[in-house]
Amino acid sequence: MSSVKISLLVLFFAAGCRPSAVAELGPEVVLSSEQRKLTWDSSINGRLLIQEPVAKWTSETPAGFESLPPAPERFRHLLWQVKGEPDTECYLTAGVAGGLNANVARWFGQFDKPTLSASAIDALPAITVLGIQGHLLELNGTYTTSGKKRNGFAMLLAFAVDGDLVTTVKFTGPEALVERHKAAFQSLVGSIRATGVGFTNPKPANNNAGPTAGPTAGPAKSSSAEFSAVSPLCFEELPPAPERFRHLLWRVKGEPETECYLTVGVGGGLRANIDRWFGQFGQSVPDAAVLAASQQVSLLGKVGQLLELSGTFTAAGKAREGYSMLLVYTVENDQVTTLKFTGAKDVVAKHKDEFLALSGSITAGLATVKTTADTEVVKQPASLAPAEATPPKVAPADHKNEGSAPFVAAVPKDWQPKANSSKALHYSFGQGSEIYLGQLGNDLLANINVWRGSLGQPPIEAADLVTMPKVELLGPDAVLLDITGKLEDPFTGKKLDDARLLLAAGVRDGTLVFVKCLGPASEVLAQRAAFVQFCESIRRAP
Amino acid sequence: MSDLLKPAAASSIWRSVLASLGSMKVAVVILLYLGILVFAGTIAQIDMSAYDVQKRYFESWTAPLFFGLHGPGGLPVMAMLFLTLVCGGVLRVRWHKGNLGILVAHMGILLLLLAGYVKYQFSISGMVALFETESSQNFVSFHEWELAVIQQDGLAVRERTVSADELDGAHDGYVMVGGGAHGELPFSFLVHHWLDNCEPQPASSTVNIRMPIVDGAYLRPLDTNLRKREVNIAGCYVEVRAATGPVQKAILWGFESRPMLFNDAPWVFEVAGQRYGLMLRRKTWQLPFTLRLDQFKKQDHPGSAMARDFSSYVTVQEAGRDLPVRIFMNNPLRRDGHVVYQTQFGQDPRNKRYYSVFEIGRNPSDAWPEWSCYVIAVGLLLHFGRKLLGYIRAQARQRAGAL
Repeated sequence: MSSVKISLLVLFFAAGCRPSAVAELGPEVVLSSEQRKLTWDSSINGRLLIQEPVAKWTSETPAGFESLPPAPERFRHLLWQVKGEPDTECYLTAGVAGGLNANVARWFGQFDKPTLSASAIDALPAITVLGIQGHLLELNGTYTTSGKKRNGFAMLLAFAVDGDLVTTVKFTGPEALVERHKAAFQSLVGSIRATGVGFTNPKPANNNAGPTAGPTAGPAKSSSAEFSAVSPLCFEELPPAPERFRHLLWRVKGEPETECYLTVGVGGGLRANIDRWFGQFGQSVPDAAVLAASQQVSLLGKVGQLLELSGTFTAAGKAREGYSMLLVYTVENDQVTTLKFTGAKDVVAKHKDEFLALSGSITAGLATVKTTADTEVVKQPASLAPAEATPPKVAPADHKNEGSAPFVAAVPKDWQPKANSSKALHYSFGQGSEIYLGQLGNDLLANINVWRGSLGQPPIEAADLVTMPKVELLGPDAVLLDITGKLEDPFTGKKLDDARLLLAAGVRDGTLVFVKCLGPASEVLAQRAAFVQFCESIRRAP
Repeated sequence: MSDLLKPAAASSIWRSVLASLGSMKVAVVILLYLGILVFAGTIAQIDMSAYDVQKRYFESWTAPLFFGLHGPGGLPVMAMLFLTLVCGGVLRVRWHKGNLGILVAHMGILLLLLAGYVKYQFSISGMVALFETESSQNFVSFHEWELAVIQQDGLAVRERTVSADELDGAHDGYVMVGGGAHGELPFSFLVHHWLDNCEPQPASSTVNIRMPIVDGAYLRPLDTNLRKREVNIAGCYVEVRAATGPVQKAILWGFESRPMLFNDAPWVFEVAGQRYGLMLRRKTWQLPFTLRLDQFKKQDHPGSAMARDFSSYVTVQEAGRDLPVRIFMNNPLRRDGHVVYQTQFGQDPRNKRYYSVFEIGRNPSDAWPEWSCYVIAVGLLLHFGRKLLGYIRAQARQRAGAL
């Protein structure tokens, strides 16, 4: 081979250059403001679409365990122990960074054991944690943590990985106790849910948006990212099945025959759909006037109508006797949106209130609200534009309440400010409902029980506070109380037979801050989504 | 003077180089290797997007082949093929009328290779998505990113950009970006921790964060989607350094979802009393005209929501003139060196409004492959026509001889 050919071959196999550590900006281009529309001085949250974490977790504490107040500062987002056994500890830690291998090595290190290989980790027994397929790890021996050695200890650890974040439920204690409560632990892990407005369960895969929201380069389209809801505690969330028009999906816990789902934007028009729903129960469709007179219920920020049907329910060729259906529908441009709940008649009747509350809580996306102080707190699905993400009832027409200088909020258009009120952010709506922000001493439980008592509801325990739904109110963890009953307010003397109380409350800087919405049940229910967004929008005035 | 430098020796070397480069064997080896490269690139598309395969296999100096082995990438191989064709098919071949067809055919192939190089070097491709009645003078890249330094000057916006290609070193190191070739801007900035796919997170949400935290937030790395490169959202950290004043740090992130959500909020900083914006965005180009979508039409297959046909009625606005055009599948708009294709459509879930998505390409060698095909065809016709003529004449002579 000639030298020329050899040198050419050498050139052939030459590697590329190393990337340069220096670059220069290109020449200046001058455009008009019309060509390059910019938003200057956006906050970091607005610019990076960061939402403060508003994750909330619920669980069913199994028999033999007791729930303790969470300690997020110690990465215990939910916390339990075996009743009367302070040596035991069980807690949820959501989203620890560092990757799986480093965490596995740390767990084994706590028992002074060599770590596992990746294939050995994969071979561990499977368990689902917060909707993600994970693994169950069991270790025993001498457990060392915080410099303290404990002999005869065991650890049960359920873990799941989301990107580089590891979510764990860890149960440690004396071997015999851990072994005895293993089944309860597994049931506890299965019961943990991420709930609350603005939170979706961790996604196992990257689901980012491309430059366009078109069919092939679509935005974040997971149904759970498009719609959010506050799931009632007695409902369990199931993976959405948009291919079967179930954009959000639940069933009543322990009732596999029940089904509740949101279907958004079905075509065919209202009349054809109503024919179909009544046809499923073999019933003829009543007059339009009868339909129009049905109960009004909020759904996705719109006022919908409630249908209640009972009898033999036929679907997918299968007839089921003694069934009921609750269905809330709204219609826009021939597109029908529904929340449908079917199941055995007594089960559906029993959970009607929860269903109505669920309907009122559903919002499109992780909605944006603006305050007069800033334009931040924006984290929304790619498909929603900032100005229009808020459901219609909550227009970003911000204004301060005249008598409430310390706070500002985004206020729905149809809420009227209460003149000369000494309360902060005090508004009225409908035929006698009102909403305001108040501050009290910091005993949350005592006050919750007073409010419950005003509607004839029994008191709750401290542990129940942990499992109550949460909402953002000047912080991520305000409890959300939603109760109905006969109002007999001992302080104001106000009485109302069919009242509903929506209340968000949390201790902030030693003071109990709450937002209270009280009025006729139907009116308050219709404003439930607006109430949640109102709470989220509240800020201390600059 | 050594023999090598004597004219005769130099001529001999030149002939030797020509002979080596123009050798048929070298051409066959290159073509065989190209086959292997194409096969490896095809297999790679199982795990990789077509864009990545194009970059890694055909627009690169080296390419991963099989069993961890790397070989020459498309760039040196095509360059070698070009050289071989020039040497073997143009310089070494005798220039007489008998070889005219071969010469012409080789010219056509060279033109084809040249078209590929011009496209690689000078073409751009991107998209614009429009709702009805909206118009645009910009289009953005599917895959490429850039950092833009922006200044608002009354109703004008002054911007300078640096392509992400030049920031490759920021993946695992840093790149210092200067303020223009002549130091027009009074600062430079450092780019580091470049991530091809990431999402910002508040620093309070997790522990053991391994990325820098700036203003209470950090970029959480996500797996790069290699099969759908366009869904990745790049992010990076920047530090602005001026002669005086403190170092100013920020996180930049390129999220947007056109046409509903634009990345329009730069990070704002001040140097020497002047306000500047810095943003990470998909590479953006200007159109020489304004494209306005007047109407989007879609026909569905009966009884379904599946599109059977869709098209866009647009108006091209240029120099005060309005030109109505219909763009639909396989019927692009070609104007001012740009080709505008109808590629897809979408629907705003909030109000069910449709929007139309156009792919826009600017390729100076757009028509060259077509011309080269004609040239090659002419060359082959000349060559084989001459051969055929020769054969017919020989047959005629044979028949005459036999008689």
